Amino acid sequence: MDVDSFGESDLLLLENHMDGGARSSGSGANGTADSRTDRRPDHGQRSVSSTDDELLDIRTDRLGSDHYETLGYMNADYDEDEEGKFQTSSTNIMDTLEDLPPGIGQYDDFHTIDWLRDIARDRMRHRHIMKKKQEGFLEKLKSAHDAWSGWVCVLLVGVAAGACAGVIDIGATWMSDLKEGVCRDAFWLPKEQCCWSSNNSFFNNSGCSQWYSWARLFGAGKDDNSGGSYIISYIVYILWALLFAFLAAMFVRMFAPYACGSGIPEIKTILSGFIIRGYLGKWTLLTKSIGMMLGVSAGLSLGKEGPFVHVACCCGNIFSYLFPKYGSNEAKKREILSAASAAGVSVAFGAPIGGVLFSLEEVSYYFPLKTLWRSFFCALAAAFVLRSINPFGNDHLVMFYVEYNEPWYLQELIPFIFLGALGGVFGSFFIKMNIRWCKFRKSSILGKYPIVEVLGVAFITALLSYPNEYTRKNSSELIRQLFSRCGPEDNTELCDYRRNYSSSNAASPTFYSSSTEAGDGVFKALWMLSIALIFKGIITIFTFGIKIPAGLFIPSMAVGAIVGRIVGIGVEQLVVRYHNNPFFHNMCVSDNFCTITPGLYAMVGAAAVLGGVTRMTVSLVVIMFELTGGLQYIVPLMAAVLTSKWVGDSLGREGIYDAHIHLNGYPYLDSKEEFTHTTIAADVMRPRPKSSEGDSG
Amino acid sequence: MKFYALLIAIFTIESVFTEKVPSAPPTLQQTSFEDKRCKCVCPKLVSNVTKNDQSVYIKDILDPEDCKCKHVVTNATDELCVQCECKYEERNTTTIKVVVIFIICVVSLLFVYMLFLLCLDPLIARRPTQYQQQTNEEDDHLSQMTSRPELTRQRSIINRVTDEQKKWKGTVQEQRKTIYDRHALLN
Repeated sequence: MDVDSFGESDLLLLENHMDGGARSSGSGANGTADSRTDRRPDHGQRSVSSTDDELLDIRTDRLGSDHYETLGYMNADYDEDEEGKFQTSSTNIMDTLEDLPPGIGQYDDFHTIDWLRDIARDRMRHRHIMKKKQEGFLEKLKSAHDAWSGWVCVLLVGVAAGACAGVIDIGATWMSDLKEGVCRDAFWLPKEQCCWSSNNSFFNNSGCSQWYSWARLFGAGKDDNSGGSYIISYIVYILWALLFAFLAAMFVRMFAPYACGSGIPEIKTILSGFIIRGYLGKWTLLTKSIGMMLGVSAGLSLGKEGPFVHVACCCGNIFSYLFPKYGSNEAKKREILSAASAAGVSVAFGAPIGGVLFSLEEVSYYFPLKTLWRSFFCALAAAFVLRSINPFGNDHLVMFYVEYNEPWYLQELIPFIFLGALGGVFGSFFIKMNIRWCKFRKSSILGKYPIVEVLGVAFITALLSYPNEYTRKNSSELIRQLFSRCGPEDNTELCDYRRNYSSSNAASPTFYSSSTEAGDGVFKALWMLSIALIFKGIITIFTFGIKIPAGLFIPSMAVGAIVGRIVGIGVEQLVVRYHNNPFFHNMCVSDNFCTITPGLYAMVGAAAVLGGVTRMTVSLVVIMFELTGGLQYIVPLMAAVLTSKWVGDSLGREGIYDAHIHLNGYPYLDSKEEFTHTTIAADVMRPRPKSSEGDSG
Repeated sequence: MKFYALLIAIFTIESVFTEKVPSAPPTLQQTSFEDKRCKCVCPKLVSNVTKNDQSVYIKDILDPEDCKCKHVVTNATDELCVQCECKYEERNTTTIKVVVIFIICVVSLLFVYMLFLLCLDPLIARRPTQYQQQTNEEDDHLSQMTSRPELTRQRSIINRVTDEQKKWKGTVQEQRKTIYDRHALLN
């Protein structure tokens, strides 16, 4: 749908209005059929307004009244009051300012909006303001306000989205650490901030003197490694997880049932012109924000990055009511919502440009250039506000920011492409399994006990994830650890390499990040990571779709990062062992001193799996390189993401969001779908029209 | 909107908090939650002779100019300091404090309201006298319309609030039906 088609239809609409044939002017031509009887009402819309040519045809060939009769069949199942509503609304189309009851949009719940009518209404309103502009200073001021209100609205939305994200980030970090212990003298500090100024590295899990694990607080023993304190910590961990999950599920059930799930499929549907009343309301915003924190803190295999899009869209909807230009016009409101979804991704990954591209590639439906610029501004404002809140205390917008600048070699493209293929396979496997499970939930008795289901998943997750240190921690922290390279300060198992400290390289700054033979710790870590991989891959299938706010970005990135790190270490050891091989020759400076970064593999793997699950390409690569802050990893990321998309598409055509849209039966017309029929209406008509023979088009 | 109003209100309280902190008795722990630090990361082993177990050194240094290896690392030698990387970092614990307390407040408020809706509300709604009273109120409302405008305004505000709440409850009920019973959305 582009601007030209609106131009045509605008004329169409006005001509129709002058004819006095008000019936079905907007409704028939745009297929706003009653969606209560038919959940996919706007196929008619596409068939009429998809291309300019078709519209033109209608206009020139059948301008008479019979045009409306040919389209009239769509309204066959209209009940009386419905019809009356349409009549009033379309006769009022000239005086656009009075035709709405204040505060409430003109569409019913679960209806499809009439893009053309709304755009025409906006155009009339604009014309009205332009005409009145000459009348005086006040009117001039009003028109100026009207002109800049889009930018102001978008700015407010960005600021609000950034503030929400800051609050949620801080809260989620603090609550997740609450499962393990508390900072006794300043209970509001999460573990990392609690030990911020103590002489200890954060990555070795011992914590610091100010951080009290629950076992230590209950006096079960000074050292955290004894059996008794382990059991106490285990139990407390599970109890906290259950409590958080219960609260999240209950809040969602009590205050805003629409707050559950990821929200992106619904946002996509809403942006394509569907009305779900209350989906972007105040209560949804509040419940979703709180529920996200609780859900992440419960240790469930879900992320808060996807729901950020929903939260930002809620902000967009709420703020659009301050400006009647947007609040009372559903088509115009979707421009704000497109910008808001860009702000959502912008704060989720600290990637403003990635956010804009995400909005363009994944969620938005009608995306003119004007909206692109506003989205960019909105995303920037949101990122700026979040940056000034500085929720992670690391001067970055995300926890897993990557700071290294290691080189990569051309040969490494082979494992990168392999990772991409793995990502595609896992992505389509995940989509199939998740959809199957969601169908089962929908149709079976399981769907009747949503709270019990949440508690069950939370219990199993907590029970199984505590023993493994890689699943015990927050997924974002796991991703950060996997993305990072080993430095001199790391004494985790993942960085346990047999370094030759007496060698001549020991003084070089890259000594600790270079590759050498792996020690025992690395092999143990590989085992733990493999178990974590299987666990995360399986539990995410059951987690995505339970009735609490749950995003998919972080779990799939975590799975990909684990795969990537494992492959990376494998490649690294291969190169170290065969460093004399001419194939690996340029990767090693000397014996036992090669520069392979397993963290880079983790990053590529994360992008590949995320690409396989969501089938994003451009926006995903941009998001990932904005995470790293360096342009040099674009080629590896592109190779992996595109391979992932190819492999994924060959195994199953649709991404997880489209699959969920289909599962729920939302009336969403995918712009990616092609028109498969080669016949035109004249071909099936009986008797065949004579004129069609000479008509060459 | 209430959400943001609250947020702004709490951020204005922030200044009060920050003023209170210095007046608190200086304890040993307080120094460990400074907002500024200098972090030096040094290799564990420098040479064959000296062995170093520690690799990260952190010190509260208020002046970024002083963030140098010599001031931070305990047994600093020139040899060690060449390989150290020092970084001056800042954070804001007050923001964290305010946000976390705000979140605790919101969660507990929601929890209490949830308990109210679950337990007390059905009890109140079930009492038959409630309906009687309401009709009386309605009569009063009509009769006092002219005599006491202030009272009626108050009452009308209460009525409006209860109406809003009733409307909201209806919407949530509808949403619950859509999602949990009919499974029409958000599966």
